Amino acid sequence: MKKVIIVEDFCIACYNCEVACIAVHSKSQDPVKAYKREGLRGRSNAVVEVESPLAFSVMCRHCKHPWCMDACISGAIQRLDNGIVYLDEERCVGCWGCVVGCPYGAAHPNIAGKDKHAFKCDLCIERLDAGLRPACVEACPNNALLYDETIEEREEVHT
Amino acid sequence: MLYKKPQIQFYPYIVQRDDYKCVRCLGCVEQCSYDATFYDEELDVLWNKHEACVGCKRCEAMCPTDALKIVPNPSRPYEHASWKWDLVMDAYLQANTGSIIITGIGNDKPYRVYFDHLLIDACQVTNPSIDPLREPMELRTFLGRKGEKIELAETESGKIELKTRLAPQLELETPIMFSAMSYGSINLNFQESMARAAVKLGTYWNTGEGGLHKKLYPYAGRGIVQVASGRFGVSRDYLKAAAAVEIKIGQGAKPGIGGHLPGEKVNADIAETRMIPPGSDAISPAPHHDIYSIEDLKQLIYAIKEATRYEKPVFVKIAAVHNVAAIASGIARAGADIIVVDGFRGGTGATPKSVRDHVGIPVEVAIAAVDRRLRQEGIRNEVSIVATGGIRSSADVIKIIALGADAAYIATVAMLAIGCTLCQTCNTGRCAWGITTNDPRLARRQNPDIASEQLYNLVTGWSHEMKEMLGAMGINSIESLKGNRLRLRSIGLTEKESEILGVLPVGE
Amino acid sequence: MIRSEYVIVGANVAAVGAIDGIRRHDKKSSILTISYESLGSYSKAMLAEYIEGANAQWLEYRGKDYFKKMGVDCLFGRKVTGIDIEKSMLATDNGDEVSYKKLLLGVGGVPFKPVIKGAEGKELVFTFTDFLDAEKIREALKKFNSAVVIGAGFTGTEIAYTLNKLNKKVTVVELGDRALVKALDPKSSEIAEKLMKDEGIEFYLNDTVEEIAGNKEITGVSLKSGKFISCEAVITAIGVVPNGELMKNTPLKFDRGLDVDDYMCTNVPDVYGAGDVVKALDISDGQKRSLPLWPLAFQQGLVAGINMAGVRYPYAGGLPVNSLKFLKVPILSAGITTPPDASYETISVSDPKGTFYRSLVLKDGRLKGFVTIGEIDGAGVLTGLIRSRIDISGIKTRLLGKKRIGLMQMPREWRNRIFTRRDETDYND
Repeated sequence: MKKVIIVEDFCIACYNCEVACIAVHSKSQDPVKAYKREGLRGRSNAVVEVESPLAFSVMCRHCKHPWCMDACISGAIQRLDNGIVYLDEERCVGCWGCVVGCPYGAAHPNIAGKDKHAFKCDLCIERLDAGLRPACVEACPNNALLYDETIEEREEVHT
Repeated sequence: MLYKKPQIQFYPYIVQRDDYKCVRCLGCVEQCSYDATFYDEELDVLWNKHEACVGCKRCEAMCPTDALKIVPNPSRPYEHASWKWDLVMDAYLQANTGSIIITGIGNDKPYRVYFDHLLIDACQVTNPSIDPLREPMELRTFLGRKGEKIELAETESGKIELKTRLAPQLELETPIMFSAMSYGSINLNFQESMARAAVKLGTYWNTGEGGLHKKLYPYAGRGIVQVASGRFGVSRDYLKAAAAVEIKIGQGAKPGIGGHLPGEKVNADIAETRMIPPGSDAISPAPHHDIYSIEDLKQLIYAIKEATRYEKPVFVKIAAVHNVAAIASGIARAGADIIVVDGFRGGTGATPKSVRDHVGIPVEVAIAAVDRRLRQEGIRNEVSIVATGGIRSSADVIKIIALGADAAYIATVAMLAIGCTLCQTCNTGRCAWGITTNDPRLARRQNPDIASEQLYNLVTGWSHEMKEMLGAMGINSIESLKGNRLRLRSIGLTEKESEILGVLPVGE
Repeated sequence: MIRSEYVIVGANVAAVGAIDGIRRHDKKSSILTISYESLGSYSKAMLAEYIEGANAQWLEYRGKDYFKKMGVDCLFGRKVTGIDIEKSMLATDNGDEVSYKKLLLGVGGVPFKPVIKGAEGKELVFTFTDFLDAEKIREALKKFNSAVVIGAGFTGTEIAYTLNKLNKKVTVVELGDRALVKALDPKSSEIAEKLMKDEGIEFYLNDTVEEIAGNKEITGVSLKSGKFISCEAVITAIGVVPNGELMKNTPLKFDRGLDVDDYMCTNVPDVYGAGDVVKALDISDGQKRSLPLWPLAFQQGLVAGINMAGVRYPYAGGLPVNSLKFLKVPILSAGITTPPDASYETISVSDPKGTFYRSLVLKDGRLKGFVTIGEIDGAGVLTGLIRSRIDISGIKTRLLGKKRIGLMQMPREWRNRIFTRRDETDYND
């Protein structure tokens, strides 16, 4: 399956992936409104880690055996038929099992306020359905995020 | 506010932030390599230190919400006809430092650009123009010594064979090459991008004087390696790997001036490639200390030809200076296959501003002079001429070829293709666009996958345009334009200038 | 008589894991699940929400049509009363006989009930383990205004917190010297206790309930220390023990937990076990024990299912992981949080306000367990470090910061494998 490949040699810490992620998962689809009206700051599914000179953006790896799904007590996290590990925020009860389960730190807690739930990358499932690439990949100016088959899968195709 | 010295307080740029649009993603903080932007967590506000801004517009380009604009400070020093603001700033600055002002890129003074005073001809009625989309159009160019004549012989089986042994030639699919930029002054990502683009385009790239990194050996077949006054990275493998060797005598941005890569920029990789100890200053002397005459140059040319078994053309690159024609004649007679003439608008990683802005002559004039001189002496066929230093567009390439060049080298425009905004701070090594820097945090901003594509696109676009212009002139091969000054007319030039360029004024 | 290729006793998380596992390799054969609970598959970890007023459907774990979608037949509300190993048959409480080829026992645990004087015959004495318990408590909510919870473990604190939230006066009595002793270290127990005390819950530590006073209606409990707490309800939440009821009079080896091998198979071929009922490998110390934890039950079920379908696939062991989801400040822990001896090293950091605390337990440079309070984003990276057994002595202090824990500290090769290659996230990872 295609997923977001992270090329850490070329991440430039511009945070455009985070902004794009927040905008695309907002009601308004607009970054300024998403941050300032909808209060979605800090709610990006892709998180840029920076420790100069290194930087990279990390989001869900959509594992075959997702630790987060094992740990999910409400059934909110399920692996869909297309391989996407999907977290249904409506069904999430905020038990943080996925947060403590994911070895990549890709499931995040939204602790603040009443709306207590976890959130994670859904691979922009709606964009994929529309034939687009995930928003973070689209926003990355330096090809540090690619929407592609994994290295092994690419090798298999070529051999 | 505390008192600040004028050269700080009258800063040239202002970072304008639309605070409503700013979502505090902090991208600009990371992008700024000049410490002009920082985040105040306590106030949740982004501040800008305007005096640190160099105007490179990196933050503006990367801001996801278009909240930033870098604008000239309206309060920078007043100027009048004689005292431009930058002269005033330079005076303020030097009064404090007492040192040479170093800068990058090329001459930014408003000297006459002769390219902009030359117009290209087109066909109407009396001979037909050519549509390059429907008819063959050739940009292929061969660089190297062309013989007086060629002899053919018939073999026993009746086949015709070439009897003359041709001098080695470089075959270019388009008469545009990437000019010398050394690893050290630029980073490996950019050099790799040029190398990859050159291979894909069927043209050549140039290592500059910083040696050939081991990672780039696969692209050396399309590489021209430089032998400069510092002799960095020159080895048998280096000469053997390349398609051609270029002896660098001078550079348009700093004629008569050497180079100095400070030791702190010489990291392990650069040291290995330049074959010097890490951390040591890489000094290129102003002259080659073994070249004080044309005869000395001839010795070096032939030493290189011997070392490469006469299989590779040897370039000699000089800056365009006042008596460039006579020097070129000497170089041709010294045995060079190709002469590179670098005009005074050529770029550099670092040079004294006084030299950059006031030394040398324009490449248009220099090429016209060199071509005429060599033709007058009957040795034009002995060498190819490559023009560089100030080539900005496909029209410039067409014009310079019509003025007598065989091909052009581009460099500044190649940097523009990958984001350069001409902020002229290459010398700081902090290029926020990741071009003229080897800081690992910044160098990663150029992904060769993207950059090589952009370079390829630029040259491909230019080549298409050149074909269109050739077609308009009714010419189907760039070869037919070479030195064809009748296809140019001057506009707004004095009679003398037109005479030197060898072109007629418009209307004549 | 009902025949089925695979029969699963129990319908909860281990069973769901097993169905996933079987269907990964066997799309056709019949599967039957039998559960005494009429609700079928629901989330036991969410019972507190039910008490608070959520409807029963909310607890459904995999949605209504999960069993149908997976081609699984269900016998819900039917209790298995016996196993005949020789005949490969089960008997149910309504006299049905069920024959199986492969059997999974996912019968879970039963609440451990201490013998307390006066507990018999009183209406408002509860346990808190399954849906029936929750339903009883929910129905009785109007009948009491104060309660004593026996046990300050995970379920004890959760029910105490829930009842407190529903405006009951709650007192917790714990035999140990601190709350959540299994999951937390002393300092974090203290923080957790404080968080609960701030909400109005009272704690009696180092003490136990000797007698429940009152006739039909409870008037209070008397403690070993001689204290008397007046209350109207008592909930025992000391913990669950593996349910060994079905294994009686069978050759199945059961000793405080069903014995299974690395493939989740019992000592009887074709009979498997998974979930709270089994004793399985705890990778934090390499011992086999019953660990009644949600993710482990799922994983054990999955491994059992894969093996039942005929593919040899070992269980790599599980790590105890806890999340105190109900508190205002989130608390997460995994592995060994209280070092058992001096060969372990503990490093910790906290802020004076007590809203941030993190402690790491290491042995030979390798992470063995942690607690993190307040800042939990990226805590899973620590869990991953325990599992992967990477030497972290060089980076341990950097894992203590208040900043989100990320992958920056990991070895570059490891990271790039994750970033660019197909995931090999396996239970062996």
